[in-house]
Amino acid sequence: MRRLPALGLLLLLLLPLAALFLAGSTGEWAAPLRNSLVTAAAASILATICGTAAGMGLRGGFLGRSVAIAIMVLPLLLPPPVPAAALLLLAEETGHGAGRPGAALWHAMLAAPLVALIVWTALGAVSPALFRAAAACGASPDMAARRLSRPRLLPAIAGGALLAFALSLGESSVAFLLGAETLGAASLPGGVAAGSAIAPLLVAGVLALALLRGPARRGG
Amino acid sequence: MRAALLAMPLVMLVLAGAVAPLGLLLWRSVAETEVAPALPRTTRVLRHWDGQGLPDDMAFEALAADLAALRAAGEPGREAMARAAERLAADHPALREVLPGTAERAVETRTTRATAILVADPAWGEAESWAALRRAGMEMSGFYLLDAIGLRQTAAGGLEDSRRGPHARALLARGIGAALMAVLACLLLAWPLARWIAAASPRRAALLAVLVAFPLLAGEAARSFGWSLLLPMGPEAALASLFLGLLPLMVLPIALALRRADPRLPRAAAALGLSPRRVFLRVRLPSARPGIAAGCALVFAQALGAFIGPGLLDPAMPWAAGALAGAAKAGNWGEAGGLAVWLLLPALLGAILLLRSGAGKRV
Repeated sequence: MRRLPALGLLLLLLLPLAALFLAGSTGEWAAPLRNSLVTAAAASILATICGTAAGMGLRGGFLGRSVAIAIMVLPLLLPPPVPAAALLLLAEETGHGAGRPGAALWHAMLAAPLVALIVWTALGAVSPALFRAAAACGASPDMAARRLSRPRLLPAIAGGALLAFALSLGESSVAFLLGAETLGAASLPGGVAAGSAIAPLLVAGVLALALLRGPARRGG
Repeated sequence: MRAALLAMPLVMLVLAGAVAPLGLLLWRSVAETEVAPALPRTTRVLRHWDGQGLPDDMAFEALAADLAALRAAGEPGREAMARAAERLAADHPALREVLPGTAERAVETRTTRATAILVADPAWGEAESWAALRRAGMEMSGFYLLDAIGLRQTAAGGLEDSRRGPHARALLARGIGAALMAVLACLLLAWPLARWIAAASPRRAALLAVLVAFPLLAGEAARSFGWSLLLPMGPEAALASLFLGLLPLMVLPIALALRRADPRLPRAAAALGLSPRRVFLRVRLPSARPGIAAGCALVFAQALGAFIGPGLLDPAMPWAAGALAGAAKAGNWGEAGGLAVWLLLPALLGAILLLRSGAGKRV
């Protein structure tokens, strides 16, 4: 009974997507689907590499660490049309179209701090006492890292990669402005109907996969 | 050293992919690019003008020469003139027809070139026209920044309402007002869900977090389209879709902060006799503080940038983000840059203040 308001709110959050699924989808969606998958794969790879390295790096201390963190979270704190306009302008000035590369770049920048947070959390979940114990038992630092950190690191990286993939599949405002022709953006504005239920469906699938891989991501 | 090297790729990625393009966009908010290429002689002469009364004959001569050169250049000249006229009209609407009109008529007048300009259009007898021309011909000016908040500079140097002043300020007010309302609404709504996630077992918490994150990750387009199937169009629908769409951004950081806090603390406080209200105020709220600050900053920034939902659910009342999106799509970089500055300022100021307060004291 105590959870009733929260449950109601959760259902309300999911309501528009339920309506979308019930309404079904029409229109041309094969090409946008391909664009979406390519963009999401590129964004996920870039975000996973940079985010994992950053998450590991932030475990240590170094000069300018807080500046580095501020720069990393900056993309999350910008109103989406602002960086989209900036990327569009940059593309115009350099004579390229922004399109999918621009969208993939932006999605990677959005997802990378989240991957870093997941990796950072996973590495922190290993108690320092265990490392001291390993050292006391004669294990080299390398050995300790292999046996203690890596089992936690790999699921965290996989979870982060899936999160980045899902984020890129669903993101629509920047992709739309850059003209990336992905599922969320291809048919805007006006006839949004084309393939509109497919992007959330894919996102749900990727999230379910992340969930089934085990609760490596605590609360994130 | 190794730690810094590991963090470097992401820092460089953001510097190259976000900070550098942003710098370019911000530069375009103060750069003047339309008039000087079209009227190079005039703008050069006007740089030496003190702005008092009318400029001397040199300026009239230069304008006549520039217009003649533009006419002689054929199609590219016509395009350059149209762009310059567009820019001048944005500042001083009376100038829209003046530039092409003067170019047309000045050649027909058989007199000195300077007089021909004045005869061709009486607007050149007004200080306001020349002041607008001089400002637009400079390398940089505050025109786009002022225009985005509906102000313009007068010949005397003061500020006055531009023609679309009320409209421009309404755009910004709606955008920032909606973002503030979104932060408040999310703050009020997020708590029960965040508590539920924080108190659940790890497996259940992961499931709940994924369910909450799903509408967020599904994208603004899918959410707004779903709402458009359920709600009648109007400002209420746009706001409801905004609030509920961004709620996960508030719920998840708060849940994360609450999970990090020691779960025994509230129980201990209650056992020591604190009333539930005081447990909430003294124990739970402070432990959620970093999450609340991060959530507020995220919701505020994303709400400021929402344009697909409002455009779909309430097309009659665009917000500032919608105007920015339109300007960027149309390639009006000055206008886009001006709006970007006024959206970035509150977003970044808010984020700095919030994250500072959130990182302050941890219980």
